[in-house]
Amino acid sequence: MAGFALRRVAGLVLVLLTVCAATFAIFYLLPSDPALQACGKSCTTERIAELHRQMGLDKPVWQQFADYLGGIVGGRTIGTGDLAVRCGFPCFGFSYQADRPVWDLMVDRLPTTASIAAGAAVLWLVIGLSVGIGSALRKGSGLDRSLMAATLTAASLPVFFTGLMALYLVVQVAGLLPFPTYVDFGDDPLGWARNLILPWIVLALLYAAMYARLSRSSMIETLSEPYIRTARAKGLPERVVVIKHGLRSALTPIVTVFGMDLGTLLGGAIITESVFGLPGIGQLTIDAINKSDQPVVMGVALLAAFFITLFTVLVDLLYAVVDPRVRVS
Amino acid sequence: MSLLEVRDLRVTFTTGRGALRAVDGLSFTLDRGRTLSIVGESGSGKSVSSLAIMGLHRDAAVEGSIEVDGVQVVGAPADQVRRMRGRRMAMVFQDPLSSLHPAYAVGEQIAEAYRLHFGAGRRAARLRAAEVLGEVGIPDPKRRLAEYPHQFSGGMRQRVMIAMALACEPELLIADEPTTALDVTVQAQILELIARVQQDHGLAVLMITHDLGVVARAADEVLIMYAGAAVEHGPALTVFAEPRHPYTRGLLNCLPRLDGDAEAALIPIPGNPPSLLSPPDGCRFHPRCAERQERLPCAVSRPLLPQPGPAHRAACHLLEETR
Amino acid sequence: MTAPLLEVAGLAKTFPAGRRRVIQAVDGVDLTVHAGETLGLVGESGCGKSTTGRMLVRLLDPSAGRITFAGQDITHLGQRRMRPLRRELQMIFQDPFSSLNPRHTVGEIIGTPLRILRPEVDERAAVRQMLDRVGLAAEHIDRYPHQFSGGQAQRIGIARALITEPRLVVADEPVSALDVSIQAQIINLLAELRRDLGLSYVFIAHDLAVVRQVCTRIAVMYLGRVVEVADREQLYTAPAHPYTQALLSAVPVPDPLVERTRTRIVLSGDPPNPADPPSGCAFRPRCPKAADLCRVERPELVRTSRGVVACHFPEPAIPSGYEGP
Repeated sequence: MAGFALRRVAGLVLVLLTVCAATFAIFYLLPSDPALQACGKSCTTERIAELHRQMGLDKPVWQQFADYLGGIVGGRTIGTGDLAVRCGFPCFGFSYQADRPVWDLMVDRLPTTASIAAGAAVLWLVIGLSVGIGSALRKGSGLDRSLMAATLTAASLPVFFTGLMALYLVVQVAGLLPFPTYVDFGDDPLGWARNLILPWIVLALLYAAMYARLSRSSMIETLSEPYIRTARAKGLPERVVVIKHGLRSALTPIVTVFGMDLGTLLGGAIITESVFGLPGIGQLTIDAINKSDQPVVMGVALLAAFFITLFTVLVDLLYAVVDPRVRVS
Repeated sequence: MSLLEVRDLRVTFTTGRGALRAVDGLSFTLDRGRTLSIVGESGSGKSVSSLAIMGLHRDAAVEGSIEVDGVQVVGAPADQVRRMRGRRMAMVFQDPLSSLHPAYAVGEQIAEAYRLHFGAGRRAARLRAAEVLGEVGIPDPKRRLAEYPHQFSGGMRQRVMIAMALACEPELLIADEPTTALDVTVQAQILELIARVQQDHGLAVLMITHDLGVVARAADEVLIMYAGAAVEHGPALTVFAEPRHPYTRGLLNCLPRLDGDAEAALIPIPGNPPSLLSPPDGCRFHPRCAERQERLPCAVSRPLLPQPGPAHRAACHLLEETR
Repeated sequence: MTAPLLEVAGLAKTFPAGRRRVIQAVDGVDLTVHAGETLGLVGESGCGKSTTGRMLVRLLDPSAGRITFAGQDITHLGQRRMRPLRRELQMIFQDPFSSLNPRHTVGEIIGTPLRILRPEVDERAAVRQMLDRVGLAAEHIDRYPHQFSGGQAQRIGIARALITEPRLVVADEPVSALDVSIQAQIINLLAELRRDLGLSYVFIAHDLAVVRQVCTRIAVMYLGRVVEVADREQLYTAPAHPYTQALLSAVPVPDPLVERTRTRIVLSGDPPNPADPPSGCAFRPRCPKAADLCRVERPELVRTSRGVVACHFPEPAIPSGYEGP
């Protein structure tokens, strides 16, 4: 088991290195020159060369990449002479726009994104699984058919539509809730929830629909397994058959998808954040792309890759706990 | 009184193409300590009948009467039948690997029924699980309680299934093709095991199988099913020695056997079993029957197994007892 | 004696099984098939009989060994050079439904090999003729597999294999998925086709009673190796290998009088796991006659006075289990 975990973590590091190299390569190949932007209107060739030196862009590419990696692991000093700045661990470089370490920017924004993702995840799991399992148990009934029609509708509505509709109806017309802003959970838990409830519902609606469909088919498949018949033949009450014997197996594919979805969302719920104007990682990404703020784009790309791979590894480890067949082989 | 009394059992499924009567008027009794084999090909209704006895049909209409030790199963409250399942009557299925839950240790799978039916604590249930595992011949049972189904071999898994069935000391054991998924050398072990536990506990065993060899080895009585109904019923010895129904004769003739004449061609039964959505009029076997006669109403009226009747009886217009 | 149609020497197949482990599914199999004969390949699950069968028709590539078909070494022939031989080497599979494409009509299923391998032939006419040959009606040509019963579907599988007029057909458990009453129809059909078309079969099965009915010579496999080869008469009346003996003794005879009086050798345990084979003779842990020698030295398949058998202590006389007719 320990060896298994170790191999998975090693795999994670390898994936991150690859993503790192890939993003680095893409930016290196891009025609845009950050020095040119930083230089402004009254630019001279000397000034650009100066900036190149300061930004370390005069070094060979592999050297730049090594510096970048070194910075992530142990921090580094960027620039030379009087203009040198210390960028502490973990250093993802400096934002050209904000003139702050990328890491600090991401740390500022992460609680917002994490709050959106976590709250929505709880909602969509509860709703999606209950609808899916309920439907599976009454397969073919009127309830099943109407629930599945509803999920199909919900799954086909894009977040920018449902989000704007929710804002208009709930905030603008009914005035039930304030326009969402981010309030720190530590400062005011109630305000935190009040402000996030709309984004949660909007985001969860989409995912709950997909999870309902996924859990329904997974549950239907599991309930037709011979071992479910065995459980019934033992005289177990239907509740035990469905939950202990059925759900246990039916959850496996859901856990996989859930890990990936959560990882992806932590890398920035871009549309939701934009619609509700919440300052999360997704907003940071959009701003950085618009302003060609390379170090920030690289930083958020790595952060997203980190979360996705991390949750994939966590799911794998969870599998080993849940499924004895994985553990033994 | 017999332990199991089935009278005029009918099981009907509703399909997209109409009603499908998988079992149409099945009657038999089974006493403690005896083995009855229900034999038939796929679609004959043998497995459907066994699931009906266990009350395991969820979307089929079950009619007629099934009494287990005097308690009616058909139409009884679901919870009452559930309490009998695993306790009074237990079942062993064909494929032990898919019939065991892959994610629970075998000890837990055996113990949970014992806890449920006897209100036993975890410790007592564990002890009971180890006890039955030992009884079915699994070495070092205490240690193996914590292992998972995939860690057992095919034959050992079927022993686990049998242990699970025995855990609550049932009186009726239904074995649905218990050796079909197993290798022939392992099949012999499992049949011996079932015979042994039957003797030790005085079980009534209902053995569902398509394999006449298994019947010859294990059964006291045989009931041959064709297209949802019994065509012949009697003591195993006489059914094999003097089969009365043309279908039974056909089955025995078309079967390759180790002691037969390998040079002679087999005599197959022509055609295919009928669709139960639109069974033929008259005797359901008559379109394939080599012995049908124009003077008899084979194509018109359906011969029924006489109830009651002689110990060895068949449902065929050729026979005195049916007419 | 003429050269054998198919000759196999030292055939082996390993499958990877996780990190740095392999499963030796087939481990040095020697076989010959003569023109017109039916060679039975019997054994229990995991003994490598199906893997062997698939290698014979080059559906699987052997890890080692040599396959000679009609005097030509076909072990390493590429796709292109194998193509003319595909016509002569065909296979029939166990599950007729999963081995027939549900979206193709019977005409397409049977006609496709013809179009690829014998384009000169009038496809539709040939298919109709073949349908008639295997006992189906010519009007079945435009139907789909799901419209047929199991026995009829297997007839389609047989027609698909025979349409190219092969010389050797490997049939992998062709009747084990069928009901008894249908089994006999297919067994008789296969025998009839062999006689009329001059075919040779390699018949893979676990049911010894079926094998006895169909095969003229039989090879018994255990854990990837052939443990005994004999003519039908000899194998069934005087098996030399203790495993063959036990196997025969375990097959129930559909006659309670015989069943209740015969003495049986009931083996303990299950067939071993090919990923973790025992030392020496693979049958040793279950063998009633196992001795120290069996633990140390693996017996080779050799011709002895008791036939071709891989055992240190072959049965000397008539077995105590089943007495022949």
